[in-house]
Amino acid sequence: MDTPATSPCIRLPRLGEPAPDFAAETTHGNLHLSDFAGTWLVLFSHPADFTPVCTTEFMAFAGIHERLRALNCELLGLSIDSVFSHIAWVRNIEEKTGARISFPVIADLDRAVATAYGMLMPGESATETARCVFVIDDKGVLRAMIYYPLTTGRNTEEIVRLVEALQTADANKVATPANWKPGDKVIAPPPRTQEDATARVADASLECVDWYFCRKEL
Amino acid sequence: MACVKPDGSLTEVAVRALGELAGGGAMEALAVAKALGKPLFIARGILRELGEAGLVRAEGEAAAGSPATALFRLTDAGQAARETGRVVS
Repeated sequence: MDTPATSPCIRLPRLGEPAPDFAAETTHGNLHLSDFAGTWLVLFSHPADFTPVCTTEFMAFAGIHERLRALNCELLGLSIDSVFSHIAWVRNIEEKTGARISFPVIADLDRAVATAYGMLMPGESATETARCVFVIDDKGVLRAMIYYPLTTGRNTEEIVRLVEALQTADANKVATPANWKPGDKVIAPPPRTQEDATARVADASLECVDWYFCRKEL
Repeated sequence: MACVKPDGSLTEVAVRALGELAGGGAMEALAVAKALGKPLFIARGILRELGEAGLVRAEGEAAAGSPATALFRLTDAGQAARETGRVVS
């Protein structure tokens, strides 16, 4: 086991900061993070090709790809497998299930991207990436992270919902409550002064539980 | 989306990209993407590979690393490659 003295010091990515840059070989050729400028990106890792949970996840990610594209958001997969393995697996999924894998997949054999994004969880596996999701906005800023263990496949509907919530928050300067879905009321930013608080509770356009907690329609 | 094969010949998408640039003059990556029917990020990757092969040059703010506003133009080598289907060294 590594001790603090021998562990490499790796700074994990942080929300609200530029996402770590990368240049990587993928099933769609060499791609850089900057190629996605102006587009939102869901970068996700899976433990390994030709494994059952990952196969169900790829089918599910393929199922949301067009909906994400409608949100100006692309998908990019990653694992520590070769591009030849990725190609064979993608072809196998398409042949056996009919799901068309339309997004690129990074072949991160040198673990450069996995390391930069903190996708490796040695307590779970020394050789495989965890089930990580990174939502990067159209300006290249890391906006959300989700980490799942090897045993548990992700809910891709939640990933679509997350992108929709982030974009709604940006466009309207609001926040979104628990289990928010498009069309639901949003959270008005809390007032920063007593004067604003007084005005807030008198605002008939808001549905306030109290001065700090007001919902509104978009 | 490799553009140049190990034997120096161009892939189909590379030939198509060079053809669009030959006909359209200086083009933004978005225009190339639309012409190729590819996502923008794929077009940027193609243009970068063609640039690394000396077949395309970026103008404007591209040199400063701003792919969103760059204009891409065929080089003389790119014109020759378009006509022969391979990189002429």
